[in-house]
Amino acid sequence: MHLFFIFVHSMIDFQQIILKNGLQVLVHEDQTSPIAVVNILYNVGSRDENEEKTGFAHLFEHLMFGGSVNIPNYDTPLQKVGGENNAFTTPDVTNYYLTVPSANLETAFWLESDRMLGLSFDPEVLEVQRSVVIEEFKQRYLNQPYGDVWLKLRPLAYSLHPYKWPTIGKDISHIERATMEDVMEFFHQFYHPANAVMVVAGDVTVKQVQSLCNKWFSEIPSGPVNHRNLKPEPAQLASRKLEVTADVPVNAFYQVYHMPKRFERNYYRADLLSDILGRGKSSRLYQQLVKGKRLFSAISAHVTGSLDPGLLVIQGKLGEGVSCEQGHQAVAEEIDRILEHGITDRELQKVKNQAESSLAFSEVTLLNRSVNLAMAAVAGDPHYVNLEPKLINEVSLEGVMEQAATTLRKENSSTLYYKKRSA
Amino acid sequence: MPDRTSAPAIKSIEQVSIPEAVSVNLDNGIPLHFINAGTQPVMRLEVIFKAGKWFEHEPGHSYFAGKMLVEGTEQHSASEIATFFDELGAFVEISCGYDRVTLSIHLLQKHLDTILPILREMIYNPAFKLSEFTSLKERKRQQLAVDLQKNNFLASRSFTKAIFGGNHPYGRSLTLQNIDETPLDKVSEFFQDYIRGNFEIILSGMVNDKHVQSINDALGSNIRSSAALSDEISGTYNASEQHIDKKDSLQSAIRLGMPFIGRQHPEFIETLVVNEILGGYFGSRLMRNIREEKGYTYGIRSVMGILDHASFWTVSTEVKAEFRDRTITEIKKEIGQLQSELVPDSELTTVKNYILGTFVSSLDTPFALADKFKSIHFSGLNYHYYQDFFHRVGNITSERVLELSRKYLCVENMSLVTVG
Repeated sequence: MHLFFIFVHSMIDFQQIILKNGLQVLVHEDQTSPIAVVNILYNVGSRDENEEKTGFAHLFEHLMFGGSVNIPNYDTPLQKVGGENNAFTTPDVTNYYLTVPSANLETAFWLESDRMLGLSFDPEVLEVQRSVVIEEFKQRYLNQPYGDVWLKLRPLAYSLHPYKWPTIGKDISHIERATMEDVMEFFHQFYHPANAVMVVAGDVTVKQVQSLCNKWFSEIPSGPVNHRNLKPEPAQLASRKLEVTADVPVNAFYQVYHMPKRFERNYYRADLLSDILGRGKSSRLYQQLVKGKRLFSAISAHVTGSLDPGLLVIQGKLGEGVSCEQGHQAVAEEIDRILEHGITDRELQKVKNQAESSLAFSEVTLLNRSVNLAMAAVAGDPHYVNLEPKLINEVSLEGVMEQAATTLRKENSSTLYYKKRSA
Repeated sequence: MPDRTSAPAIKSIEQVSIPEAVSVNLDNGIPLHFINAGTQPVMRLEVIFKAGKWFEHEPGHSYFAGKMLVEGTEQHSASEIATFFDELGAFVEISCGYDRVTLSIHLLQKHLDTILPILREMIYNPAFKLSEFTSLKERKRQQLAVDLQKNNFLASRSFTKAIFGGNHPYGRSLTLQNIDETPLDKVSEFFQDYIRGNFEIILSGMVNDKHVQSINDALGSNIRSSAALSDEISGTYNASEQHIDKKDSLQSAIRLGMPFIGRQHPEFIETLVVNEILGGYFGSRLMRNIREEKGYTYGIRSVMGILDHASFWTVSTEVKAEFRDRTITEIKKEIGQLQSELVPDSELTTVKNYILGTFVSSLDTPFALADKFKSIHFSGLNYHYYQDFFHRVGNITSERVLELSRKYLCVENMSLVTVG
């Protein structure tokens, strides 16, 4: 144990088991309630896709519920023992999680190990999930005002790195054209023990998990470890800008800056910088541009927090009759003010306190603790999960200013004007 | 190799004891309910005012009166208040619902004493400054303008109107014109009549006696006011159909439903099982049919909306526009099937275990325990409800499901709204 806790953050205790086939298992015991969480994270996201076949990692997330080698339906047996599950796909990873009454933990092992062993590869499942994903694409990205923002912003900000397309895919035709052959190839490449991290948490013991792992997972054959060789995004040398016009009620403004990847020291500097700019109603952008100048009706800043270098994002809705150009100018003035006059100790302390509080709240549920552990493990070391408070706390005022000078450069920015079509 | 073809033995789901809220009265009679649970040093403080939409005479009064609580007090400006909470890493949220306005603060336990004096100002002496009010209205106006472009949003609005009627406080909805025309004096009047001194407090998390004492010291002295009463409204309901055409929509939003029994009704718990089978969970009949077999939608579900003075039941989904009518036919077909054929044992067992298992899992956090308390408390029930819940869900039969489907899911009585 290290002795650096200024934060109230408590450690997430865990034990690690590595199976011979490469499966990394983390056990986090918490006997507070009679429930268990099984979280399996596969080290594959949309960044691992072929540019001509995007949206696959996410389509795959759907197919994983369409039956496995020995079990025709994943959901029903889990529901039958009182469990529930879901999954999500990001540019970095695909994560599957379930909660089950701890007495029925073995059912979770049976189900998860079978779908790691192999899928049913039923053509009908592919057809239906293809339609479901296309409907999801419409519901989330096309049939919502501003829904396609990230379809526009990603390729603007990234020229080479596969973060240039969103998890839903670059173009829905890729999903429309997906073949069963593609699906099988994807499975064999990425869905195997050496490319996964499993967290078992809650009302369980290490011994019990060890024995269940031996029984259900140890014989699953391994595959190639996903050693990525992704093209790094080249340093951006000139600012980029895009304008779109659509039937939206008000003008919107988006601006992104390249920044470091998560778990790296400078990431926390940029993260706190984004908080100073635009987290909450006391932030600079909100106070100056929503409350003060009343140019925006909403504005905020955040970071994407990705495992490869990510983005610091500023986004806002302009007030009635205010142009994107005016909004842009005002945001630029706020950024210049930071670069020229710096930030105050009080501001830095504020965003550290917010971060401290967010961490404590993010660990309230067993499920969140499990996901946090798995994410840290896939980033390189599960202990990262307990190191973040230290990294945040160590950020100095000078550190934030250095980062601001590096990140908030005009040449490093991509700006999107999302304009309201005039009547 | 283990036998992978058959499932491990199923253990039945044991009834768990739910950590209960302890209720006390502050010196001035204001009720404080607290739940001590959890392992993180966090808490949620909720101040709940009996001042939701139900009490308004014009749409927007409850919403704006509630939201103005964080927009400055007689002593501190809105910006000062925002900075104050942000500096403590506390998150303040105001939600304005049909029956209640809730001010909730998520905070680290160590900051409770610091927060209370400001909270007291906010709930007793909000400033109702015109400049803040104008700016709040502008922000709400823009948000509503965006929402009005969403088929789902329009469908929900039209549906509540169809259920309760356009003159009922639950059925009325806020328009852009309402926002423009809401005067500040009506909003502060609503605050005086319904919000000021008319609340209960719920504190959940790592709570101890000292925290309870602090709350009494800070909030136990002002006189509790008795809120203005409002009359019960008994509207007549007639099933209706409405289609709102939105050109170029890729998807249609659908709502199908009707008024429903509330939580206090002796058959309510059993109808939860009926609802679950039809559209309550991922493995429901509607989900399997419309999503997993046909791929018309990303999701479809049925839910009960439980309100203090009236409740409703609804199926909601967004489907590929060309399949709108076919989806409606399929929904009705699934309801018909529930009313004509016994649910197979294996499906019923799955649903029962799923309901009970997820119930047990949902007791995971102190905040969830507080939510469980609120569900019974505001329905005038006590913790016996949850024992009853375990018992009735565990013992319901296929015959009973059939009987209740016939009694409560009468298609002729349902209203339909489609948008797009």
